Amino acid sequence: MRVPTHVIKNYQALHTWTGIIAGLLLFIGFFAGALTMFERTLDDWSQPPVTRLAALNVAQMEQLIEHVAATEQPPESGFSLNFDDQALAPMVWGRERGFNVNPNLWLASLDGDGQLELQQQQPSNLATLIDQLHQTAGIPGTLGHESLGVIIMGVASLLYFLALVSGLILWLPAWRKDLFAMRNGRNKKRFWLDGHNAVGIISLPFHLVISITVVVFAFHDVFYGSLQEAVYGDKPMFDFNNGVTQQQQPLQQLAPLSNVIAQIEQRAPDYQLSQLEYLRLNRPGASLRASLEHNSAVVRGPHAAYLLLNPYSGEIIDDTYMPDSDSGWMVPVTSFFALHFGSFGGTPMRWAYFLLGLGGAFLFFSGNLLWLEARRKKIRRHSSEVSQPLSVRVMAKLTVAIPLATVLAVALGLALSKWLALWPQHSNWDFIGLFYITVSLSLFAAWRLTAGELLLTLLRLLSLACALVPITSLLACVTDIGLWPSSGTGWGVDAVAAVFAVLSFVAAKRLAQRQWAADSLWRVPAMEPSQALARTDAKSV
Amino acid sequence: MSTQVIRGWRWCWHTLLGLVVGFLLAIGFVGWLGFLTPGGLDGNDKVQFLMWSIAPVWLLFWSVSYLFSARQWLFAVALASVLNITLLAYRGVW
Repeated sequence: MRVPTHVIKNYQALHTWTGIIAGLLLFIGFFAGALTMFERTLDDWSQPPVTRLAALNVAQMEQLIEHVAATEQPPESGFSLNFDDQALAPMVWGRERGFNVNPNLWLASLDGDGQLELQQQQPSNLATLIDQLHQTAGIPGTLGHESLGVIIMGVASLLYFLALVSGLILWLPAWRKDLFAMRNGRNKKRFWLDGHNAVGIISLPFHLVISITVVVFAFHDVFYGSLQEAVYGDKPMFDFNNGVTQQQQPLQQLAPLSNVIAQIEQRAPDYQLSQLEYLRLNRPGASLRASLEHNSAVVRGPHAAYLLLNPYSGEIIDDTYMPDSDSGWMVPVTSFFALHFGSFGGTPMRWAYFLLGLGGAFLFFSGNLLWLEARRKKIRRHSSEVSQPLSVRVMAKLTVAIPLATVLAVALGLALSKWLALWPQHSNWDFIGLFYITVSLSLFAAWRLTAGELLLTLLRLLSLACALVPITSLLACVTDIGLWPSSGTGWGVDAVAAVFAVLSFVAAKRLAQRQWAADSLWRVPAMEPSQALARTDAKSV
Repeated sequence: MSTQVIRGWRWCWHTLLGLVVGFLLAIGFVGWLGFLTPGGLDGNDKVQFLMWSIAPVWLLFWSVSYLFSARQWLFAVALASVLNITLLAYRGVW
C-alpha cells in the first residue's frame, strides 16, 4: 500500500514523540495491569492464614447478622457478606469509600460454639497497591476527587491512541513484507523493530480498547459534564431515586438473607454469588449489591456482574448491570468494561490478558530502544572518544531506570511481604515506602552509572528479588519461624516469580558477556576496558 | 490531504485544533445520537452509552486529523459548528 512521503514523515514524528512522552508511564500501567489479572490470587497469597475467620453457610450468616446487630457498635453505613472461602471473613465492614492504604476493617464470624468472633485488623493490601500502581503509575496526589495519577494516565492514554494510529500508518506501506517477519541477522535494530511491529499489530485491537477505556476512566466527569451542558441542559442525566426511602433502620429490619438469595437465584440461576454489599444503610437510597460470577459471561466488574436489590424488602430494583439485561444500551458499555478488565472467558482469558499486558510493556520498552538506537551517534573508527548526545544518554538511563525500578520494586514487595508480616509494626505503608525508595535509588544510580552499568545492576537485583519469592515460600514449608507456605493457585505466584528470576539472570549474563560496539549505549565500561573499541562493527542493542 | 511536512509550532496548532474540533464533533455527534435514537435522552443506561461513545469518535478524529488539508479542516470545523448549534437549538436553549 502506497502512503505519501509527507504523511509518513508527519506520522513518524507523531509516533516518536507520543511514544517518548507517554511510553515510560504506559510501561508501568501495563506491567502492573498484567499482574492485576491475578489480583485475587496475589491477595490470597499475601495474607497470613491466621488473619482469616471461618467461612459460614447461609443459615449461620443470618445468625451472624443478628449477633452483630446486637453488639454495642453495629456497622452504620454498610457491610459486606462474603461467600468465597478465600475471603478474610464472612462479614466485613469499615472500608471507606475510595482507596485507603491501611483499611481498619472489622471482621466477624461465628466460632465452633456459634458465638460471635469479632476482630479489628489491618490486612495486607499488597494486591490492591499493585492495582493502584496500575491505575496511577505511582504518581501521588489528587485533583478534585480523582487521583492525579489517573488523570495523568488519561493524558498518556490520549497520546497512546495517537501512537497506535500513527504506528499503523507507518507499518502499512510494507505490511506484506513485515507481517510476521522476524529478521534476526546482523542488524539487531531490524530484529527489535520486527518484534515491536509484530507485538503492536497482533495486539492492536487490545491496545485500541485499552487506550479508549483509560481515557473514559480518567475523563468521565468531563464527558458527563459536557453532555449535561450541551445535550441534557436542565434535564437530570441520572435518576438516583431507587425507591428505597427508609433510613437509619436497625440491621434486624433487613430482608432475610434466605429471601435475598432466593431472589438472586431466580433471576440469575447460572451465576455464582460471591458477595453481598449493603450500601448507604444510614441514608435514603440504600441498596444491596450482589456480585455474581460466571466464567463464560461478559461481566461488568473485574470479576463479577452486579444485581441491585432493596436491602429491606429483598426485591430486585436494577438488573441493567447483568450481561443478559434487556437494556441494549448497556451491552456495549458492559463490553468496554469487560474488555478492559479481561473479565470474560475465565482463567484462560486472564492468562491471555497477562501476556498481552506484558506484551504492551515490551512495546513501550522496545519503542524507546528503537528511538535511542536511531539517534545514537556512530563514532569514527579508531577514535578513542565515545560520547553520545546528552538527550540520548538521559533517555537511555530513564528507559532503564523507570521500568526496571518499577519491576524491581514490585518484586521486592512480593519477596519481602511474608518477612515484613513477622514485624509487629508492619503496615501497608512499608510497601509504598519500598516502591519510592527503589525508584529514587535507581534514579540516583542512573545519575552515577552508565546506562549499561545501570541495566546490568538492576537486572541482577531483579533476579535476586524474584528468586527470593519462591525461596521464602519453600522456606516456610520446612521451617517454623512464622512464614507461611503458598496454597493452591498461590504457588503460581512463586512459579511466575521464578520464571522472572531466570529470565533476568540470563539477560544479565548475556549483557555482561556480550562484546558491545564502542559507541553502544549498553556497553559496560568496567567490564571491557579497551577491546570494545576495536569492534566498532559489533552488533548493537 | 495535507501535502506538507508539519514543522515547529505548526505541530502545536494541528494538535490543539484536532483536540478541540474533535471533541466538539464528538459531543455534537453523540448529542444527536441521543436525541434521534429510540427513547431519547431517558434512562440511566442510555446516558452511560452516550458518554462512552464520546471517546472513540474524539480519538479517531484527532488521530487522522494530521492528514487534513485546509479545505478538509474547514469542512470539519463547519460540521462541528452545525452539529453543536443545531443541537443547542433543538434542546431549546436558544
